[in-house]
Amino acid sequence: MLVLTSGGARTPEQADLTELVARITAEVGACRLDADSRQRHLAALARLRALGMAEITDLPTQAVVAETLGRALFCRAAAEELYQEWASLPDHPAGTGPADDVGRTIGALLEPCQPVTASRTPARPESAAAFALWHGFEALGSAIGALDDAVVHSRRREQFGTPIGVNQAISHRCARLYVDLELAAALGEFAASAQDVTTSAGLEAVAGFSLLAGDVAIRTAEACLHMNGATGFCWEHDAHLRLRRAWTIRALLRRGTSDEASFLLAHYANITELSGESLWQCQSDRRSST
Amino acid sequence: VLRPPSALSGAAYWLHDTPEQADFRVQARQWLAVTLAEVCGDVSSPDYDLRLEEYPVRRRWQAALADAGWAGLAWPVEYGGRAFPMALQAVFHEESSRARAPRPLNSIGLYMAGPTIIAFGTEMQKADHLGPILRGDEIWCQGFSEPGAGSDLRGLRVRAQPDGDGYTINGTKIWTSYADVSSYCILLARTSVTAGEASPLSMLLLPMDAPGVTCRPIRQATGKARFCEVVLENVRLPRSALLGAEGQGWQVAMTTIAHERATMGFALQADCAALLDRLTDLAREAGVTGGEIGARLATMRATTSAMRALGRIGLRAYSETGTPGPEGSMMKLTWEQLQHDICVCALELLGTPGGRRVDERRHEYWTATYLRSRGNTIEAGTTEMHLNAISQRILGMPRPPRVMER
Repeated sequence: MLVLTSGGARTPEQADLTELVARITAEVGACRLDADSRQRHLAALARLRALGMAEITDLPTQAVVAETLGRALFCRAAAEELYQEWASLPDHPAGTGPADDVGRTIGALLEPCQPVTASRTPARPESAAAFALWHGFEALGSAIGALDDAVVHSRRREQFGTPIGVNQAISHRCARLYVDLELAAALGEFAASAQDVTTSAGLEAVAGFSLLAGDVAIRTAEACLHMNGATGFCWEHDAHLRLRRAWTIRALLRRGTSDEASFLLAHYANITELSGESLWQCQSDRRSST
Repeated sequence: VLRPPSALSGAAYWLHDTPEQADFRVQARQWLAVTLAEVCGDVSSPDYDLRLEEYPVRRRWQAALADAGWAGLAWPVEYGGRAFPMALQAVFHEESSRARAPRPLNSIGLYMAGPTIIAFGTEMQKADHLGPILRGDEIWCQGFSEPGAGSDLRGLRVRAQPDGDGYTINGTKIWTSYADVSSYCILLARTSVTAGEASPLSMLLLPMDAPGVTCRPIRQATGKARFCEVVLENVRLPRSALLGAEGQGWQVAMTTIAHERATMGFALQADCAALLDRLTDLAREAGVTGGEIGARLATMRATTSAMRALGRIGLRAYSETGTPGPEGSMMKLTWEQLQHDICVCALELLGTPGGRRVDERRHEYWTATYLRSRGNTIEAGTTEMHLNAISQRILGMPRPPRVMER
């Protein structure tokens, strides 16, 4: 039973696409951080690819797909393969370079009053923007899934003879998270639909979106875990997967900033996702080999 | 040529203006730049922001808006408006805040009473009031809250007893903003021969100079008296003072509130953006722009931009359906939080060595603004009412069982 539909607005084609991706990813379930699960997800990626998913060129539609993958807790490494393919499409604004400049855009937001000097200017703003949008929407999708789970559970789970959602401590926490989710989604929608994300205003929107989406993903995952009680604290529950995913993506989104916080984030990301699965690791390896 | 991200270096207005909106924005910006200096003085002077709250300044500003045709942009032409789409009204709000214009003194008239009169008023009422509301010749206030009826309007007790050709009104309204400078009030009262909570509500247009109306200003946490207690003792009103039909008061009041949420939603976003610009200036002046403060500024900036995007989404839905959606509640909650966070950040900045060197009048401005912002979680629907609305109407959370009435 889904309460929350999706973050951004949808064209009918995008809605169909969402349904298709959701169906294929639902068949393999959430990525459970083991080799088995990863294999199944890579196979699902092959199916998505066969359906032409890797040839999507427009940012809004890519955003829709990324959001759906995040909601489904699709394997990070597999999602990243898809993004790499998008980045290497000839006409895509992301171009062909490694998309790792986003941190600098974020950095401009994190240290906003400093004059933006040449050294802090992204070398390739377009790749930075696309990178941030994909990962931001993936985080947003995971946040939607987390809040949806928390809300559905709170409406159903009864204690003291009434659903726990009757308590404002529960319902108001969900409502606040919902507002934050809608804010991030609104900014994401505008960022993805901007005519040119590489203008300073477009980059600001993208960076702001990824900042909000990364944060709300963590907070919704925490709420999801808590509201499911001890069940939510179990390995079998998705809550911890969402939490790990959220921290990993946030680290990716803030990569490249020079502050210590991002190093810490990177460090946390390495220990929160299993080391073999760690996208951060994947990305570093990829970068050092190119 | 790619430019670096401007981050906080001035407001970036990037959200997809249509060509029409872009033209309108330029016109508004030009007019504001010239007229503000004439009416409100030098924007760069340290006491400028403090002056914006003064009623005479706000009254002059309203007159200037009306004279130049900027008041009632979304009102029908026959009532002195320009029949522009709401989106242009929103653009004007944005540009006004950005230029640091005062709020027109008759905000309640323009955004609440006026639209409600347009929706429910008789031709006579429209002819009598709409023009003066636009010009600010009539300032209006809103008489909803009572000592026993805050969030829960079911507790309303002010009674307008029907007798012969009109009503005799008794009771007390409270927390009524602008009542002391208003010439009219949209008054929500119980109209029935018998008293009691279940008796029907009606909306009345009350002249504040009617015999039996006493208005007592109430001093607020800020030290200023910006709202009032309005006591009504045997006030006589003719039947022609009814707005809408007798017994239709609830529907009329909901229209007023819907207009408040729809129009003010966007104004709130513009307020936040303008206040954040002021904070950013303060941070620069105090020389504290990096580190933790910088990160906080960034997050607030992102939230303000998101609020703007959400406001646009709400506006789009409102223009399509004619009914304000849940975005109003979301905007209100975000606004009150941002106002708080921005003010707290300012107060902390003022406590730094750099901040202590900043002009005294800026200290005064931020202290006053912080204190004023503490009313934000209470006015226009408390935090909890909006959270209830979102959790129950959007998330489908169960309503708590109602305590049986005694």
